[in-house]
Amino acid sequence: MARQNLVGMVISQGKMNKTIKVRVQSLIYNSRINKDVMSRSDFVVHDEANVCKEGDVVRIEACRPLSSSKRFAVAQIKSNKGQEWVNYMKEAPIMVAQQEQEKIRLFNQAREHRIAETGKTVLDKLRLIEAFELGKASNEVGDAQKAQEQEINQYKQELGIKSWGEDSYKIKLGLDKLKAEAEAQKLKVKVLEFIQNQPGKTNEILTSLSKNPQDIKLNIKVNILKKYFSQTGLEL
Amino acid sequence: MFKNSLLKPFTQLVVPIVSRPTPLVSTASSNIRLFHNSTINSNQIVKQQPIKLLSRSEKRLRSILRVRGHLAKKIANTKDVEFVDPVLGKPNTSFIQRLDAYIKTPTNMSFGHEFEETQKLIYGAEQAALKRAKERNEDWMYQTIIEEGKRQKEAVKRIFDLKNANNDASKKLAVKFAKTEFERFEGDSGSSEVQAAISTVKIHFLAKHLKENKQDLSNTRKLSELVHSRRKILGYLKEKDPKRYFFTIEKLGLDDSCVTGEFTLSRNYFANVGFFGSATLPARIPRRERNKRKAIAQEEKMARRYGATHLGLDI
Repeated sequence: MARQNLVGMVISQGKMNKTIKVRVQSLIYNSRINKDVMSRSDFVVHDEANVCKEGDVVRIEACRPLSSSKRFAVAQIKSNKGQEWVNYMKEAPIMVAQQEQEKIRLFNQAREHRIAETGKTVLDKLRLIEAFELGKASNEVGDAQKAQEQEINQYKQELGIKSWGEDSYKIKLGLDKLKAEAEAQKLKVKVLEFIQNQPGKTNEILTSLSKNPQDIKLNIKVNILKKYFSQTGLEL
Repeated sequence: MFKNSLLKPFTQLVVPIVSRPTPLVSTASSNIRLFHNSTINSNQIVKQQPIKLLSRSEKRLRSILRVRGHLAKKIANTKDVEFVDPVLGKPNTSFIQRLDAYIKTPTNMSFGHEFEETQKLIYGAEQAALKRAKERNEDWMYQTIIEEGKRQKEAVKRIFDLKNANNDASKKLAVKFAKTEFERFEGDSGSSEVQAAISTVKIHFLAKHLKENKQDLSNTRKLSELVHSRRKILGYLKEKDPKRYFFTIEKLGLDDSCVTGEFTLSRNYFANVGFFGSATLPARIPRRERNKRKAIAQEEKMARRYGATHLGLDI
């Protein structure tokens, strides 16, 4: 008697040794709905050489029972699409790595171009000025630095630096900002205390500034007095 | 005929090799039949071992050790499969890193404007104003016009800066970037790989939001929907164009298991990847499953010990 022959696609491979799973599809007429209905069944199939790959289309043939569920063996590989998949899978990382390398190079190039276009950063400018000023102080100004003088003066103008001291970069980069804020707060507290404890003196100061003390609110009084004390340098 | 000779080993020992019956399978027959009978070799002389009677307990022990040996060999042969996160993909993916770097570039602008274009426009306006002043012989205007131009430049830069825009603006820019990376031709926005790339961008943005807002359940569901739709799109691409498919998943930092495997965005997934950092809840496993795993772990432990001591396996 002729052996049973079926054609199907490999859906699972590599999980069991010498064994694959093959899905066979067929149209079966359903008399109740008068239609052909697609039905599928999965077979556990013997693959002696372990050659089949996921995605292959194979012809399978019935044989004697090889295990509890194996009744078929691979007879022919009809299309080796699975092998193509494996090749693509191997190729993909190399192709992606190549493309990424190129893209990263372009990205870095664009970044460098942008930086060159917009000029140097504030930090770089400050460093240039610093190096120049230090050289000037120790009388070791080279020819290259002399050529830069005009450029550096321009940077100074941009950053609002009139003279270069030890703390110039601190002021520009706002490193003393917190300290200044704290001092301003302290002054405010002191002025408030002054207004509460010595109302007579405050009125004197305000009238001397040609202002009517009764019209002014407390917060405005504080501001005026803060300005007055910081300008005159009088102690509270 | 041939099988019968196997059943009678004593007689076969006596019979000389030459006179033994020829095998049923000839070399001319199909390959399938060959391996069906591959265990039977005609040239093999069956050795008869002296029969040893075993007690019941010995038989039992022998069967246990046989199973244990098989398991030990299986453990020694299995390779560790790398786990790839089906939501965020592999860590340190080049494409995703480049995307992040691109969004953070300081010249980026919202509402689809470009930095250079705006600068050029302001310069043009300034030149036009200068020309007009020259025509009217208003030389005193020059300085003010130039200063005004500087202020305009600064104002435009601040208003359109991406840093001052919301999250949606940067997402739009990221989507645009992903589109141009994957498009097959200029202006392509519908191919499967472009769709997958766009949903990857959306997934990364949403995941970042969810990591900070654990209670946002509606968006958690949205994330799940996005992940599954991407799986669907990639599955379609695999069917249609496997070459493009493998390239795309590699570039997006995904794996074939992310597309074909089973996945639910559940509490156990969050626990597995530590999604919410220290605020992640532990995985919830049913008692029956837990016991099963415990038993398997115990068996594996015994098998490892047996394989190392008796079979000389390196496990």
